[in-house]
Amino acid sequence: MSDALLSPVLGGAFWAASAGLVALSARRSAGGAEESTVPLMGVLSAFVFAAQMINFTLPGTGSSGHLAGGLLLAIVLGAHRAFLAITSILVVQCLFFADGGLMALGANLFNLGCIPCYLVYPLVWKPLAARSAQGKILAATLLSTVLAFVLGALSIVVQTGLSGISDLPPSALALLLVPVQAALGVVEGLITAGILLFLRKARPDLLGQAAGSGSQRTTEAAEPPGSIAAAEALP
Amino acid sequence: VKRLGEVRRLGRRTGVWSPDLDPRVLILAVLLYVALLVSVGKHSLGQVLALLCVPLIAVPALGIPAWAVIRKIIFVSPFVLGVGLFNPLLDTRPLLPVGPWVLSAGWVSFLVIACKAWLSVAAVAVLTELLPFEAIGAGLRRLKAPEALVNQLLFLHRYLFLLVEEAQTLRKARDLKSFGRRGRDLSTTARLLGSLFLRTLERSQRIHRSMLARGFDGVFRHAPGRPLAARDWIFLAGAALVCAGLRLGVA
Repeated sequence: MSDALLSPVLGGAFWAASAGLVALSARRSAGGAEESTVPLMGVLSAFVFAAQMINFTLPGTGSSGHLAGGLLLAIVLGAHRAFLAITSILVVQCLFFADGGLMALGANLFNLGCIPCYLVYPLVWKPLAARSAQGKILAATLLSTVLAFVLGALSIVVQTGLSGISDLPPSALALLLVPVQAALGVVEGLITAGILLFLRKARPDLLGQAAGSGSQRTTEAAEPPGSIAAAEALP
Repeated sequence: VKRLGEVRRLGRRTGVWSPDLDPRVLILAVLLYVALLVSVGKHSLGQVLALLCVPLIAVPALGIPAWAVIRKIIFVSPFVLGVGLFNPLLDTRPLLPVGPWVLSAGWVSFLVIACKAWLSVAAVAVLTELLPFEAIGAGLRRLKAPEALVNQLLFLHRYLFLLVEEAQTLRKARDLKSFGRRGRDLSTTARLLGSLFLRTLERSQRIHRSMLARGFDGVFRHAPGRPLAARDWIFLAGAALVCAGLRLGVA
């Protein structure tokens, strides 16, 4: 989403909602000195940027793609920490790469952070990938990334439509945007699943705990993720 | 990679005005400008052109390299311009006479969208040219942004280049060992990214141990910043007056 297509009222509303979510995620992410949460979140956010340097050839098309990383962060860090990590990535992208704009930051946080972290990861990926079988991980990851991308695109359509700055009817914008985002979601799903399956072989404890946390009914809202504990156990 | 190089350049820039102002003031001034810009009506071309004066005057006056701003403006989202370009097709009502021609409402609204996109990028570029990232972090902290978010931003900024260089090395090694498209397939890339991911986890563990060795007790301590001085208030009031005047003073 961009400043240029957003009305001030909608931009302000999404700013307020996202600020509330940032405050919530910051409160839930707080850890003591013994937890490596802060450096872990920081370097994993940097990992997402770094991973975008390593592109790959898209099957059947010859063009290249790269990882976006939202769902991967949610799986590894848990919803709250991943949301905070995605917030930092979007702030850096907004400030230095001129992506979106300052007023659209709230809307972009909702589209790219809230949807994968607070909707798709807990409601789709965790229940489906709970037993961490290879096929289930692949299917759950593909479904989750496609859903996250499509819901994000639909959210942009709704935001653009409600803002009323573009004359393009929402149905036409959805037709332009959703198929492209669904295809990108498939690519993102394949590469994310590839990384998860690699981790499953190389570090089964990491993914086992991250996926296993889906079947546990913890009293705390999906935190802390197993992978933080796994990172603590690294040699 | 070029865009990341641009981020690194910002840490070493010279010749740009170093404001002896509280970073909060600059952040608030830019936020105010962007909020006023976004509030410009769909067909208010005059207002958006009036707000264009701010970067046109501020960029050369503050010693900011014009190419740094122009380069960012050029790469403004094709999505925005693509969506905006439908306006001239869908709204053909004549609206604005320009010499012998009359611009349609659709073309006017498209120009407003394009100008808003460019000016929004220019405003952020001015902020990042004037303030180092650490100062932006300090400003956000003093504006009561959550501590966890500010620390996260500073960690990300600190390790961004390190990990990107590591990823570039991995990519170069892969490309040198690959023939044609072999080695660039999904499964190889996933394994490559997986190993980078594991290295990243181990790096975070080493960082944490270093923090503990230096006495980290879970709390980040910072030098208290100075309170807002008269020059900060004057700058903020001046910026607000100029921006609001340009926004409201033009029909």
